Amino acid sequence: MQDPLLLEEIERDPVLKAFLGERLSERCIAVQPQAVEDVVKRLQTLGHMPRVLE
Amino acid sequence: MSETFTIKECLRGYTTEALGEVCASRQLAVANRDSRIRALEKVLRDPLHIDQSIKSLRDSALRALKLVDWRGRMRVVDLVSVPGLYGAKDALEQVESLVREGLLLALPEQNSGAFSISHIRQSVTNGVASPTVCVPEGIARRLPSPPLLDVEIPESGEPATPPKPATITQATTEFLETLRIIEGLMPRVTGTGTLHKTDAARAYEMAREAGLSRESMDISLAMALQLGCVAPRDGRFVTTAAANEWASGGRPQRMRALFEAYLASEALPDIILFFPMLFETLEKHLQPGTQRRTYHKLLAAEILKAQKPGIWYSTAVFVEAIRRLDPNVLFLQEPWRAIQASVRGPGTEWRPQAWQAHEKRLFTWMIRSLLAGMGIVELTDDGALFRITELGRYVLGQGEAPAAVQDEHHDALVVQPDFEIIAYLDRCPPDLRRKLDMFCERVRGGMATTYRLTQESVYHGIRTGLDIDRLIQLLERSSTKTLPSNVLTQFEVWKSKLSAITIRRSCQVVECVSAAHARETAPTLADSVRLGERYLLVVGEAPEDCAVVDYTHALPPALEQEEGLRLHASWEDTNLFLRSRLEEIGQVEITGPASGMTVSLNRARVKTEEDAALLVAQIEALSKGPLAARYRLALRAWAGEAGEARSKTATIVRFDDPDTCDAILEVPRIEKQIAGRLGLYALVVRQGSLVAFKRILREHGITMGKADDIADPEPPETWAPRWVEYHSMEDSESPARPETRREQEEKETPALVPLPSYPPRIMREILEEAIEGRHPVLINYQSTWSARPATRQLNPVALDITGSSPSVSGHCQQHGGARSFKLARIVGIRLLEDETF
Repeated sequence: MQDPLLLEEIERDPVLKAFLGERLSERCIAVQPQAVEDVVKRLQTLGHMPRVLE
Repeated sequence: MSETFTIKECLRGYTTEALGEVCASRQLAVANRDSRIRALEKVLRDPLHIDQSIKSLRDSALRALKLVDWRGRMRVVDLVSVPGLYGAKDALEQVESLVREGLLLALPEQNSGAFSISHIRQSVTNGVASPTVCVPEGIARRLPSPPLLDVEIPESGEPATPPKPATITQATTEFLETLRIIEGLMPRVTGTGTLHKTDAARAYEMAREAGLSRESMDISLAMALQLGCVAPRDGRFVTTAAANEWASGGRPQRMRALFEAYLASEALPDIILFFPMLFETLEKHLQPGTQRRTYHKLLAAEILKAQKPGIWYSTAVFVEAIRRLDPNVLFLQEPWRAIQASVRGPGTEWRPQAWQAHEKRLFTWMIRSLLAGMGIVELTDDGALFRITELGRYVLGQGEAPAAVQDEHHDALVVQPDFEIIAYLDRCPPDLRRKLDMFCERVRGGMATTYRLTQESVYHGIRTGLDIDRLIQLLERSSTKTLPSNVLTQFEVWKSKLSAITIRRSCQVVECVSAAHARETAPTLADSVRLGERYLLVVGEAPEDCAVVDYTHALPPALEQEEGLRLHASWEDTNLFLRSRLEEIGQVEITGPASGMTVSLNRARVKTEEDAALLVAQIEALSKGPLAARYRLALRAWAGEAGEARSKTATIVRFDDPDTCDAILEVPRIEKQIAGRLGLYALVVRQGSLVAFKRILREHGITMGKADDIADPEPPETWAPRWVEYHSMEDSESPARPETRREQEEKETPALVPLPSYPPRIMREILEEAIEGRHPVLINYQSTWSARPATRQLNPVALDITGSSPSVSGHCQQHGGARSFKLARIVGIRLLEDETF
């Protein structure tokens, strides 16, 4: 994340919470690899435009 | 020459007699088998001999050699069944002659020394295994380009009113529409590589809305797959970067690519269109991988190549030329074709009738619709005459590309402040149309197509690999006036949103022992990035003194049971997702970086019986072994389901086997003496009833002795399964032979679809939503009898949370019947919101 506050907001989301793992830093968190598309979909619903890098 | 066999290896597969025949044709007087092989090998490598042989070849023989060389190798039966492509009168004789001269070599089959020249004719006439032939490498290198087919179609006179040249080729529009549909729908692919039935219906509906026929979409999709513009990924068809490359090419290159893809594609949408009733049988005789599969298309193209550009020809005469060259192009001469066609006419009358009804219509359509749509031919208004265009000449491989028409138009678009874009299709090059299709929502189709820019549409375009800056430049370049300022501002907002969150896939993360270790290691690794205190994002090899963080498995079994109501996961078994899952179970303790995690069950988390059942499922899903009964007991007790323990002084009578116990309980009115059963072997006698009970036993031939120890000799774990088995309470899927079953399941297990993992609590919500909305779900289920999870599609109908093992029941598509699945064993789940059952 560019902004640590954004990460906190995302962590509070009940849908996203299920896909998230441990925080690696204040701006980085682990995401279930099988759930990347679900995370993207939810973030889109919340108005974000996440970039996905292979 | 084949990559696998040398000339010598091929010749060793010949009989001595066959070698003799080849030597005789080359006038080599050699008697000994090995000497024959050596002599022939020398001749077939000698350029002078090769050139001399090629010079003496007929045109049809040269074309046949080129055809075999182009394919690498061909079965004889396949080669002789496509005589039109090389224009041979007697294809079989021609192949025999080429083999006899050594210009075609038979590849060694399983039986060494078994190939003889007579085998060629036998294999074709008797239908026995056909030899495979190839052109030796030295000969292939020296083959000149063969002359075009000798098929001259009489010229027709000039039409009264020549047609106007089209600015947009129909094929381009159809191809772009098909790409747009695939992109928007991402339809599922079946095991045979075709569109999933439900998604196909939706795709055809979208095609119809865009003014595209079902057949046109099928043909465009076949070409897109052949060109690699569409490819299957994760069980769905998606567009690839090749689609953008195709769109950005010049018109001649685009059309040539489409036409070549049409010729090479083994999909048969054109055959389905004109032979709907015969298709299944026809397809059996058009085996994939054989030349027969694409023969009808190639034959038409070869005949067309032989005609002059700019000259008007009759479409009917062109079709007749195909029939003259090979009336059997689609098995017209085979008896089964008559039966399949259900022809009732007398004698051989059915053949011309069938040709008129099917083949003629197919080839007429090819000229009037397909080739005209690609701009390869021009048609008169009634379609009776056609002529090959300059573009067509290039597409057919017969000339240079015509001078490219200016593709970029500066006034193709109008971008409005309300984010609508009007695109004038006659001025839009395909590259621009493709980008608009990817970046915008289409509001209305037609020559002045209206698009709308939205955050979703722009994001979709970005995800397909395009750059937002390039889109802005393209819009600016193609717009009639400068872009509205509010649109440009919104683009800046989207750009900033795009840089706010980045998800990296398939990256390698390592964990260091301490923050100091991470600080020291990071500078030693090129391109590494430090994440927090102890993690590093690395490229390439992970350093030896760091642990690679495996997050590919969302939650592997990690918990081991400890004393009391605690469970422990060692450091080796933990991963980045375990902690959050354990926090749902109870209090998590972490004493140090490498000490793992310990979770203690928490009474406050259990309010109802359902909470207890879901927590049991959660713990079972994460446990390495079977869960000890005390954990279940505690959770049930906290939910108020266990009831109180009661004490009583009782007389207990123990029997040697459970059958006796059962039999005694069946004695009429025994309940007056018996208070209940205790385990498998013991009965509790009512106070003051022992004498009466002894009497009943005596009546049944049982004497009673006195013993101090009446406890069960083994723990309940030992006898309980016997009890269950005895009472046939085990479900019907109990493993009679676990190993065999496991092996069988492994063979049958389909590919695993990656699905997100959820705790049972959320899984329950998903399943409830699925049951309510009648949506199917995809689950990755770890069965007891399988080594690995398998993906199943389930139509869920009931969720049981009240039992000891929460489960979902429904119709399993893989098993084709009703099944129950424990929530604890579901390792991944996805709701298929777009489908209902």
